[in-house]
Amino acid sequence: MAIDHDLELMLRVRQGDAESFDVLLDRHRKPLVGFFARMVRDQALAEDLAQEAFLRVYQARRRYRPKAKFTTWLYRIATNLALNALRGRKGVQTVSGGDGDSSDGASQVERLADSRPTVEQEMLLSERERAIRQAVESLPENQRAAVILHKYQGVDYRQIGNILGVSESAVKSLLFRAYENLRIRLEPLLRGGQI
Amino acid sequence: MSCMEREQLFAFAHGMLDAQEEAAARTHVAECARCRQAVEEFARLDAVLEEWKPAEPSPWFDTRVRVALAVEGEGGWRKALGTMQWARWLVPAAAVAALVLVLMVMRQSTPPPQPVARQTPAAQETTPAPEAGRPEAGHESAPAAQAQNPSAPANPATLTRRDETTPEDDLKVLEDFDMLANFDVLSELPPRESRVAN
Repeated sequence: MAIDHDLELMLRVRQGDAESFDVLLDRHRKPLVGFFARMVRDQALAEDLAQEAFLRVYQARRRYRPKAKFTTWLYRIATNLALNALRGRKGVQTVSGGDGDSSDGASQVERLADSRPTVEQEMLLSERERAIRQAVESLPENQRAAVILHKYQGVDYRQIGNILGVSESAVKSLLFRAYENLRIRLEPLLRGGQI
Repeated sequence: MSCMEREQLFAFAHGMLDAQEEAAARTHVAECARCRQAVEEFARLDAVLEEWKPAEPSPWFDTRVRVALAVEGEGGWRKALGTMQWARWLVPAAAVAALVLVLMVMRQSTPPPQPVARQTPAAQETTPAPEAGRPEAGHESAPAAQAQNPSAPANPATLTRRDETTPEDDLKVLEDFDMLANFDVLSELPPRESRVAN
């Protein structure tokens, strides 16, 4: 239903309805910035890319044909932008990839009986988040894009095939390998322990 | 009972199987502890990945997008122009026209080279006075007269006027420090010691 609504909005944008574009912007702003932030890590770059994605949608409004779901089209644009950005700054990313934080400190934090989150627990939480982020970032580009689209953007694996330009069986295989890599890298967290 | 492949279990855990495959997998997982454990592991991984929270857009994100769209709208006519076939020749034609215009302006602003008969001070001293009653040669006719009779002296009045209109490249006094010293107002002041004493 929501996707149909997006299509409807985009068709109105094609006819010159600026308000419908505002609604699309409102609906997809947060997921799109989140997608880019997870893909490229840099928040400022993520916003630049999200802006560029919206701009491309607007520029292509007259050529828009509702062949697939609106989100498939949107994330195809977004994924291309993100992968281009990643390829453009390869090398820079690897240099600044690590946070320089040791996980030893976090692993020694004892859980207190008190359920309120302590500063240490806050630190621990962010440490866990950081570990997840690093695990996802360590994936090859296609696996990373597939996982982020599947897990965080809620995009169907068939749509992911259209976005990445691969078959459904290839997407299943890609996702399986990606999740297996993540399972190995996040083993300590899966066992319920700290990193 | 043999276990299912991990990839099949992954597909089952993520709802990627068709109805028939899913029914078969469900039955198998219910009976096989090892495969059930694998499916639970995929579910745990899903839960752990949930902990990575999304970044929030900055409050000025919408404004930035709208500004970008406004700029895009303003640039629309240029793009429309770019799609026209004839417009492809517009830019080179405009460049050529601009070049011709610049050349014309430069040509007009540059004074034409004038055949000036320059005289040294020594030559001026030896130049005889013009003959009385001889009509003074006009400004335009002087060079022609000189060309006809190179040995004939030039009209001093004409020469003076020509010198006044000579372009700046004839003025080399700024580099002549000896000459500048004559016009140095400081040299007319009393010596430094006496100025300090005063």
